[in-house]
Amino acid sequence: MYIGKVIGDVVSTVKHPSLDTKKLLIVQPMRPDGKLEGEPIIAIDMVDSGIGDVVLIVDQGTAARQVLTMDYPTIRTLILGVVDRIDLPDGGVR
Amino acid sequence: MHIAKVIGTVVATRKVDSLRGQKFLVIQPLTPEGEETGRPLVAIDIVRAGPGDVVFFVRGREAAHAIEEKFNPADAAIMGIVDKVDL
Repeated sequence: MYIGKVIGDVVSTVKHPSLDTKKLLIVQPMRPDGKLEGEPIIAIDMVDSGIGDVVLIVDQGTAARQVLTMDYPTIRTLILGVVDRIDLPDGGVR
Repeated sequence: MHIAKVIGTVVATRKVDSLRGQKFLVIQPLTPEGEETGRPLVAIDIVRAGPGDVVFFVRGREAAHAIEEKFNPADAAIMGIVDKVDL
């Protein structure tokens, strides 16, 4: 799992049936100190998060399989939680 | 999942049985802002996308699960056509 910041959302009408009713958000990976780093990725939102939220991301099919209870998951990136705060030895974010 | 633009089609008559009937497209990954990033790749398509469309795709084992025949070697699958990205 890693931390990211929600930077956008994706609207799609024509999509795979497994994605029906799923909310797609674009998440920018973030270091615990708040620095944005790495390539943005589209994730399925499980916790009603929105643009600007700092969130907990998982990018592994088996995890998605458990959360979504799909036998053959087509989804591997999920937003699992909204981060309230991160405590670091030298100061935190939010 | 990632955003990409469809830049071409691939026709392969001889292929493994588990990919029979599948449509292959060449896609160029994009950043959410629409700039090209990384190398183009080939993905299976289940949403009838075509050249010029902006799409989103999944990489890895999950790509294979997008089609009826689950036991196949695809490692990228187009999952939807992007209508709009809000940043």
